[in-house]
Amino acid sequence: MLTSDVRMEVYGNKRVVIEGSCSIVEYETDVIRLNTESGIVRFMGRDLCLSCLTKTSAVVMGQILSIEFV
Amino acid sequence: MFLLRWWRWLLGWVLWEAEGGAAERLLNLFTNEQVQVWGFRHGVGALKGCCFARDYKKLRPYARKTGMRLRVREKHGLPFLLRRYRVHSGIVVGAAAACALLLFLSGRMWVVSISGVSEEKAPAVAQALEPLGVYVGAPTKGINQLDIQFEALQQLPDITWLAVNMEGCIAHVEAVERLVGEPPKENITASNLVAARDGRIVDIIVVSGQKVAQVGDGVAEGTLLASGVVDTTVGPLLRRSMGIVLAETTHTIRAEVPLEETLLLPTGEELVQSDLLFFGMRIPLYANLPVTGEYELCEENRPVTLNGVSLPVGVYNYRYRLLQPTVVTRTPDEAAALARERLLAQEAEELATVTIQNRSETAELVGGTYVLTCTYDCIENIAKEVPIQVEEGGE
Repeated sequence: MLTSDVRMEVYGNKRVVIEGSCSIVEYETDVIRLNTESGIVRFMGRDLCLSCLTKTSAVVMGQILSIEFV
Repeated sequence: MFLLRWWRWLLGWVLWEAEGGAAERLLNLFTNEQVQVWGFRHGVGALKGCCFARDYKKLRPYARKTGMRLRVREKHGLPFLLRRYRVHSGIVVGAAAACALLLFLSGRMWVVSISGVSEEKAPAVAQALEPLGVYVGAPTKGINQLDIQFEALQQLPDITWLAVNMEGCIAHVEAVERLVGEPPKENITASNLVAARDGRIVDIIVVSGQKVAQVGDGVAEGTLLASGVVDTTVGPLLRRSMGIVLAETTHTIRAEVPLEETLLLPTGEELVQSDLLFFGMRIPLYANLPVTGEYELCEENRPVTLNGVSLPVGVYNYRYRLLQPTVVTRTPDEAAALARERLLAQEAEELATVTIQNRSETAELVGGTYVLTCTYDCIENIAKEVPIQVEEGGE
């Protein structure tokens, strides 16, 4: 079933792969906010970085403490 | 991952840093315009990332739009490496030429090693193989062993078997010489023994035939010593005469040395002309005119050797020892010494098989020439076998 919701794959607390259209709202080492079709997703943690960013996917890496849908 | 890194290195990538402005907006612009960037790090007031070298120029307008200052921090990859060494293009050209030369020479014969034949026959084998494609500098591919074997054996009657095996760039030629047996002895059925030279017989041993000469007889060359016609009770029979007849003989050896003579002697000057040998080619390294006057030529082949193997590269030298007519003057003592030397050499050659009983020398100066004469009293076997010609048929 086709859906426009964002799909996230969480690998432990070190890496999250986000599939779906997204743009950056905030990008800091302790917080990253991405605007997705399912709303804004906030990643909180330490040494966070976007190792890959394309129009349809993004990869957040670092020590992720929490993931929130805002 | 390794493939990705290798690919990025091949195309070249840069680490850029953007300061000031809105970093998030800049990243969104990159993604919207599908500019391939990776490795983002957002530090204090600065955003770092990586992109392909060819894409860097595309980032500038976006950075200007977001009010950020963009600059390159690091450059990596093959394009930057080549650019750094572009002034040393000769190295690249030289390396490429060396590779091409090595590739070309790897397909050629460097050494033709011939084994199994004597040193006298090896050049003939090499000469026979040359038109068949086995020579220094020939291509190593396309060698038909059977054809070479067949053709080469046609031209070399002294060789019974031949094979050519390639080991890298070395052609190993193995051959087997034909064994030639002793020629059949002449079928002598009847012969006489005659004197080979003048002398006085001191001992005579006749094994076969009828003894004619006696001990103490003086004989001349050709005198019958033992006859092959033997008288028997049933009549004369033909036999082959064999035996030893020792006789006292006399030999004279003479050596002459002029006190003054003109000889061609080396001047001390030597002219060397060299050819460069390269895979069968001879490239002259000289531009001199042909050597005039009297000279003595000595040729020497000096290939480069490696681990005992002669490589097809080297130098071939032509050494010309210049000679000039020189008047040589000798004192009588010097002439005497030289004459004695020559006399002894002749004695060793001519009287090797005889027993010398006595020798007497005389020396004299005759018309400016020192003459040394030596007379030898010898004992030797003077018997010589002479076949008796038998005519067939008739009464």
